[in-house]
Amino acid sequence: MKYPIEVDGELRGAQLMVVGFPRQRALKFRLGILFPAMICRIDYTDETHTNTVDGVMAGTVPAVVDGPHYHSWPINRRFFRGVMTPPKLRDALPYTGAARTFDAVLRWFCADTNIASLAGNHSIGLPPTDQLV
Amino acid sequence: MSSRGAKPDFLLTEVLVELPKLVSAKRVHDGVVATTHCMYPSNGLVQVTIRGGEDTIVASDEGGAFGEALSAGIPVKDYDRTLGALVKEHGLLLKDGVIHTPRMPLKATPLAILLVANASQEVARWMYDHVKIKRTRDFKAMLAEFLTKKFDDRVAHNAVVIGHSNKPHRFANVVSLGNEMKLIVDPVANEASSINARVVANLDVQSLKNPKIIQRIVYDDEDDWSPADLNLLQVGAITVPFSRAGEVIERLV
Repeated sequence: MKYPIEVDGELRGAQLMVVGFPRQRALKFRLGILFPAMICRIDYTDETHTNTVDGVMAGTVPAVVDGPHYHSWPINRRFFRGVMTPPKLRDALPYTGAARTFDAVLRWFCADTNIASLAGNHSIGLPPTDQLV
Repeated sequence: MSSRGAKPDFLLTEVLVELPKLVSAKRVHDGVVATTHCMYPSNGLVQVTIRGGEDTIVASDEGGAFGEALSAGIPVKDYDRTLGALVKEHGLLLKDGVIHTPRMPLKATPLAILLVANASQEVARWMYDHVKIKRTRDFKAMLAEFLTKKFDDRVAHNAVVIGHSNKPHRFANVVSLGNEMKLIVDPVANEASSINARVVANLDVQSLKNPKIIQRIVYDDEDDWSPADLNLLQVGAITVPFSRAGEVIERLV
């Protein structure tokens, strides 16, 4: 599911993307910002993510992250080369927020990425688990 | 560091203890999920789900390859025919974006996991390498930068101009040309809300019939604009393609 993000009063193509997982009973999703490719993303999943040698050597990320993790823009912007191929968000930090529900994680993500005006009764929800896209 | 010829037992221990920690298997409601050593292009480890009975199993990536691509912003469509051949070489099947084995003997479970994990990685890599994302350049920022370089502090960004209706409108770039002359250079995105907003704002200012205000709407001509939308922009002000904005502005000042 994609939701348009208004920037300075206009819709310039940035979107909030919510990805669900088919046939999952546990809470599992991804939230990210597309502009137009994914520029940052939180993976609220049980997956294991390995980081880059450079990131580990620089001390910005651990070697391996287990479970929910956050591919933030500051630690991944170096992978963007301005080419037409999709960027790879290679580095991730463990998600350390206290939020454990979809709505709470969504609000945490919006706060971290400066997305404002998420109304109390917003309609952003987790896609049903019976479809891939 | 051990001396030359000595057995690096500590190293062997490190590998034997730490490497297996990366891979894991856990029970889920209808099977087992194994995390493998295979890596997707963004460094996530490939997970394979195994379901079955006492004699046979089916291993699947549960759409992991497509999910990996989707999560990078790659436009995912039905690639079953294109990528079916790629996974078929491994004896695997691809249906609705899910890579899976046919029914296999229980004893072949490790092989099934390895095959699916590698195929999933391969398919994700194919999508990163072959499917392009249409990048929308931020021409508004490029235009603002161009104007700032050319006019320095004579250009005001996000400036307010009061329209004929007395409504204040914000414009991305307003250049002071001297003698109270102003040049409004207004970028518009190829999107309905942007077009409507910019046409209305320009039309309201145009209605002032103030000879000291020059207006130009700039659109990104690398985008696919419909003739109707370009005509609509003309209602607001003279429109200029971004690729020619430089020379047009040169002529105006």
